[in-house]
Amino acid sequence: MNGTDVLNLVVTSVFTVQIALGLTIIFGVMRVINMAHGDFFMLGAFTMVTVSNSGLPVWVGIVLAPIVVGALGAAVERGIVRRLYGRRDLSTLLATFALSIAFEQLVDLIWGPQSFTVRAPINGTVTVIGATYPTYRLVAAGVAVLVIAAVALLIYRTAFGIRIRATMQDGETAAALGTNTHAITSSAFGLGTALAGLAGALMAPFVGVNYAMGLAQTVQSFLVVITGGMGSIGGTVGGGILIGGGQSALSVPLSGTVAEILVLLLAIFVMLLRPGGIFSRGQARTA
Amino acid sequence: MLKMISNPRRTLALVAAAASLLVIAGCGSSSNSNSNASSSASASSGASSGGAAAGKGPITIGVLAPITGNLAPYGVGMKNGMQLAVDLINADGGIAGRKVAYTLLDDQTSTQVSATQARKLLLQDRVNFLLGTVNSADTLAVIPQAEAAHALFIYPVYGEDRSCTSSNGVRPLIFGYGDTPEQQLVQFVPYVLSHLGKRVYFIGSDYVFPHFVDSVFAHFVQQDGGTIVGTAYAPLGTSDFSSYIAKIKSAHPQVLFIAVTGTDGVALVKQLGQFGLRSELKVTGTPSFESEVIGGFSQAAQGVYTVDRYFQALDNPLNQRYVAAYEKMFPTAPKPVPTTAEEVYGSLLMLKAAVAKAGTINPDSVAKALDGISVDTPGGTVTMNPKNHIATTNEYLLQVHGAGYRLVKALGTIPQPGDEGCSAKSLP
Repeated sequence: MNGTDVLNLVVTSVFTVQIALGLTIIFGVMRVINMAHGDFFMLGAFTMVTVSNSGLPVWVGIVLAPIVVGALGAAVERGIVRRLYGRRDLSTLLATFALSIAFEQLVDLIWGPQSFTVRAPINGTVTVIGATYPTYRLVAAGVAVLVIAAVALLIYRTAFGIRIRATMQDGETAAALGTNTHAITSSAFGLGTALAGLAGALMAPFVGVNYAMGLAQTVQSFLVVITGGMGSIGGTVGGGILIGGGQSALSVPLSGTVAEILVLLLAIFVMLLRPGGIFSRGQARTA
Repeated sequence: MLKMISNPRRTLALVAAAASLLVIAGCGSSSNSNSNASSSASASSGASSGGAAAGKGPITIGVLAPITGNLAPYGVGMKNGMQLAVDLINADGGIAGRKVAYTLLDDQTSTQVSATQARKLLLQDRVNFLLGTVNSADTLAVIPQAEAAHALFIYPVYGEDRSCTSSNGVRPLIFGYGDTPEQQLVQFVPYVLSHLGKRVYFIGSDYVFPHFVDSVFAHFVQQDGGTIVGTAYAPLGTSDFSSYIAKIKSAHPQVLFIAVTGTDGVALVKQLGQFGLRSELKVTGTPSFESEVIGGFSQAAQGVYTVDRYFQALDNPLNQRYVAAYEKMFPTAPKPVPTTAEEVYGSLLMLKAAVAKAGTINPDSVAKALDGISVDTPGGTVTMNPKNHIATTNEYLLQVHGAGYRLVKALGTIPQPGDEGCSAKSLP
């Protein structure tokens, strides 16, 4: 493993964690398996495409994407998901799946099926630990790390975070004690989708942007929360490093296809041996 | 802390349900697309004239195209191409004095749907001729349907074309109008090795077609004195190629040949630039840089070398007329004019010439007339090779330039080498 491989591993892990974190928050607060999660990522990337095509600086898109996508997420929670809480069936799962298809087809209709690229706001490469690496990738990953840290602080160190955690643990009691759980659920949905949207915006300059790009992210995020443990932020970070970083590290000595198979096998083993997540006996229960 | 699952097994059940939905979604967001079947304005419903000889009604053509699924850019090119081709041909007096009507159905890039839609077109709509499919697996699924209905079937676009002959010789009613990797690469590879460098690296998507392109490419590289310093395959849907780029870099190639298909190729090219590799090596490839997909990333792919049988900037009167008509009919369509559209037009021009020569629309007579026929198309003169039923066509060595291509070298008219290029050994 040379310097480039190490940096690849770090950058891949960071974005995997960021996207999955959004899914974790949404699941933790609402028990909603958001099948459209990757599509919020895709919509973040398309916000970038739109901003960049209209001639505005790319940074504007990075600021705008989480706001636009988060607002859309909150609206989806109010308009659709909220009406389905409390049903002990697959209603929310099916509703968000339908939403996923609707988003994709809508974007296909508006932008067409081809792939778009967005100009990176920073060009050039830097030499870090002996590797020549694209500067923007490192900056984008740095922004993502700051955002992940900020979200953790928000949840563990603020009054808003206490309300979120209270709603996560027991929504009814939290409501009885005066927490406006309606406000909490829609802001948590907004926050979760905003994280995906921001990741889409940050990654847009180095991936191909197209209407179908979300599905792979939905799958990846599900793998992360399954291996890391449902609804645990620490588990999500661990799962993200394991899945994203593992895939990246394994594809150094092996072919990409084999690496993908091994990561999927890992997720299956974790599901069989530790249904609560690989970290379920560790940090997840404490802190 | 945030570990609040009371019952992990119930959660697992939910996740399992989620996973199965993802699988459904992965199979191409297809379930919603029946309504996408579109048909030409009017006349196609009156196709009761069937396979009979010269009648009075329109000549009907059934078209299968992937309007949904990951080959949609090609399907849309085909759909636009068909609309324009029928318009142009009807304006020029139709086929043998009869108007042309068509019905286009979405094959959804699914073998099952392709076969079903082919049967619908052949048996229910009773079209006179069948045209279409992009994915070669779908072509293979349609051929038996066409043969069972004794209908003439033309496969119009680039592909491996191992389907027009059977092990007993040429399939009489099946024709490949599209070119093949052999035709594209036989002159392209020598040029690349002598002008760009002899140390080459191949990267492709990990499914059958890029593997096939690789085998053809590697054969020509070895034959022409080059060295393959590395080969890599990325799973479909790869969006981050950083680990592949690290491997490419350490192999120190002079030339990178890319056969990463569809939208993944965009990401790869973009990332090559960001890692600073575009200045270290020459980028070439096909089908990654085809006209159907280049629109979204031509900026990132400037200067990349590729090869095709057609490109919008071709300088001949037939093409100038064609491009003007295309831009008039589809003012908002992505640039440049897709090769798929031109291929559909060329297929119809060839069919028109064959029907005129045969004097009937009887499939056997038209098939006989197609053998060896030559037509002028916007892409140049195309001849149907009677030995293997694959069109002999022009190939052009191109460089991505602006929103389209500029010509580097016209490679001339190239036949599919040998007559077993069309062997159907892969058929069950």
